Amino acid sequence: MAVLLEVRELVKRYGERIAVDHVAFTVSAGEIYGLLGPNGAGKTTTIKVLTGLLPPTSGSVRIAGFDPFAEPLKAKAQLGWVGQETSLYEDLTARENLELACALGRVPRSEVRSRVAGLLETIGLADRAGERVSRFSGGMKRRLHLAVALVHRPRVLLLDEPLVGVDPQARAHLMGLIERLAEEGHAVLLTTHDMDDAQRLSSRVGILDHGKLLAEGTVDELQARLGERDVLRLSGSFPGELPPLPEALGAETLSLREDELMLAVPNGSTALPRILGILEGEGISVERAALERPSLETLFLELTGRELRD
Amino acid sequence: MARFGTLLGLELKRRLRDPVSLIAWLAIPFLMVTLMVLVFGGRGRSSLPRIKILAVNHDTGILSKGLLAALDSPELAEYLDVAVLDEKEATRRMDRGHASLMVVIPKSFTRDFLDDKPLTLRVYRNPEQTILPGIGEEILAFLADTGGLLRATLLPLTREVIDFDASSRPSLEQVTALSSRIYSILDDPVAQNLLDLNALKITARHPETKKVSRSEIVGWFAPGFVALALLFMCNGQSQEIQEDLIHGRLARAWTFPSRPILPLSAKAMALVVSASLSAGLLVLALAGTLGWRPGNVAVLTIHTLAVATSFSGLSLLLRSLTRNPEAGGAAASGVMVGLGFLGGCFIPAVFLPPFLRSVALYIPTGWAVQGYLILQGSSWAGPLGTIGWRIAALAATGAASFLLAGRLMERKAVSS
Repeated sequence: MAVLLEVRELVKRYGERIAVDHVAFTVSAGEIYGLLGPNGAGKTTTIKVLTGLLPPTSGSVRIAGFDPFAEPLKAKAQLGWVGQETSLYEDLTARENLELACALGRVPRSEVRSRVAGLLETIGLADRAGERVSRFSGGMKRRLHLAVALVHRPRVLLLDEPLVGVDPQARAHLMGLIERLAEEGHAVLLTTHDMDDAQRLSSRVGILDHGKLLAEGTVDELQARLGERDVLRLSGSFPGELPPLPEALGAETLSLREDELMLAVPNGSTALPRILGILEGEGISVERAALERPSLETLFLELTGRELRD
Repeated sequence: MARFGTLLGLELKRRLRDPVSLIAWLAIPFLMVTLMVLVFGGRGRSSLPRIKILAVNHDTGILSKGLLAALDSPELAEYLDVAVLDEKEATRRMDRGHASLMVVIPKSFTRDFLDDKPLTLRVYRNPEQTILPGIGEEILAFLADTGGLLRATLLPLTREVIDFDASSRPSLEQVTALSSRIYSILDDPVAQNLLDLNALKITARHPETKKVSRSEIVGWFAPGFVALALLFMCNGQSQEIQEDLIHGRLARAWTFPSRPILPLSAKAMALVVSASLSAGLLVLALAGTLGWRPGNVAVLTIHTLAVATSFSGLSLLLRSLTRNPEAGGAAASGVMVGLGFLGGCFIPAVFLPPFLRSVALYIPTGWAVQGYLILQGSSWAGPLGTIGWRIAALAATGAASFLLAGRLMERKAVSS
């Protein structure tokens, strides 16, 4: 598959602060790349550089082979951007919003009508085409927002937190749309701080924190980095320091908070009763215990020492 | 061009779908002009009340009688209401605020006139009034000037008559010479004018006291308020563009394969067109209901577009310098009110002090108001030549402000 989006050693500084620190990745046609990280990790800054709105401090990006700063019109012709906020014109109808995007996207006049109708059909809003956007639900606005980015038929899609604040039904609809776009050959870069979204949609994932790409690969590859281990999530009341656990258990503390302890152990079902016994013997009360398969969240925890929602 | 047309059409649709603010900015200046017409009279009535003067005459000579006759003459009776009283009664009425001025003519007034001594009149002003006593004093000063001229012209003759000794049996030649001298002096146009009160140009010295028609009052205020309406319409609508910037609609437009100037210029053009159309409606309303004659329609349209361009550019520039619509609105309102005042939008420039009138020559609001004033009741060829530089200056200011605002907004879109 052809590489449509290429990011090389991207750095973006704001004075002393480094928002993006030597980030590099590629996204090929038909691929959904999930850029995963907490708020402030540098995801949106990376996207802004890719759109050509924000010049990088160093490094380079290519959109279908074009540099968005050297050849902005050619790069933007291949690029569709869906920002975090649904930046639609609420006082215009759905059709008018798409017509406006067609004018900006240089869609030939003769094709505007059919292209708008096709997109309205795709996002399931054909019967609401003449209604003002202000009357739409959040999910409908999200779908229209995505359609606006598609009017000029870009090959690269940048979706910045496209599923935030969307109800489950609309979420399922949008996820289906994004998957279909990838199947049609688009290269999709998706930023999210939701592990489930990343795990469900992405063929490859990059974990970003403090502007650095900490890990990258397919979901399976990343999970394998944790080895064949289970995750024990214990709720209760924990002291600042844990009593020593037998080395034979092979337990690794992933996180320790006042009310929660997470451990990675090779054989969870065997280790759980022994660990509970040791903790009880030290007077530490455990109210609830859960045994989980390792996830991207666990990996993020291991890589950064904190949870994604922190 | 077709793409620009599509964007412009959709932007205009957005504005027309929310006409409340536009209507408000039309209604407010219209009501203000109507209010001014009501306040300043109109319907052919005098715009100022008669000035009440209380006169006390201690002199028995002919000159004081002449002065009182002049004040009570038909020419001045329209403006002055003179009552001759004794000093006690006049003082009592003055203390109660029943008059604007009290004039006391001293006992030696006529004698001093004939003896070529300085003439004095005691004048008391009503401290509770500001304008009317001033006008009354002006009229008295004018009459005093006239008296001075009269004395300078007639005094030699008076002396000759006084010095002529009729008891010494003058010769026929002497009597003929004196008669001839009297006729030559009285035949002088200056003396004739001084003796004829109809020649007093009181109305020319006090233009605010003349009869003012409704259309004249509309003519004073309408240019300023039309400019003011444009100023505030442009400011109000520029908020939408600032909101487009803040909510990412402009940034999103800039990710499409078009030049960044395209979406912004379509928005700015929509602002100019909608503000100009609204101003056109205001002009029609003022012409239809209050009889305003704004002048040549073609030049008026060009001027209005130039004014809207300038005010839109300035509004956008102010918006681009502020963080949010609230701050933008506050800053823009402050600047707009200041520019509006200095430019003569609120108070007609003729009523402003000379310093402010000269400031108005160098600011866009001044150019806008002056343009509308010049256009009033003028022909095609005249006004275009006179206001052409103002139209050019307005358009240039608008274009420069717009380009600068565009650059600043692009930066903001990136940093937000």
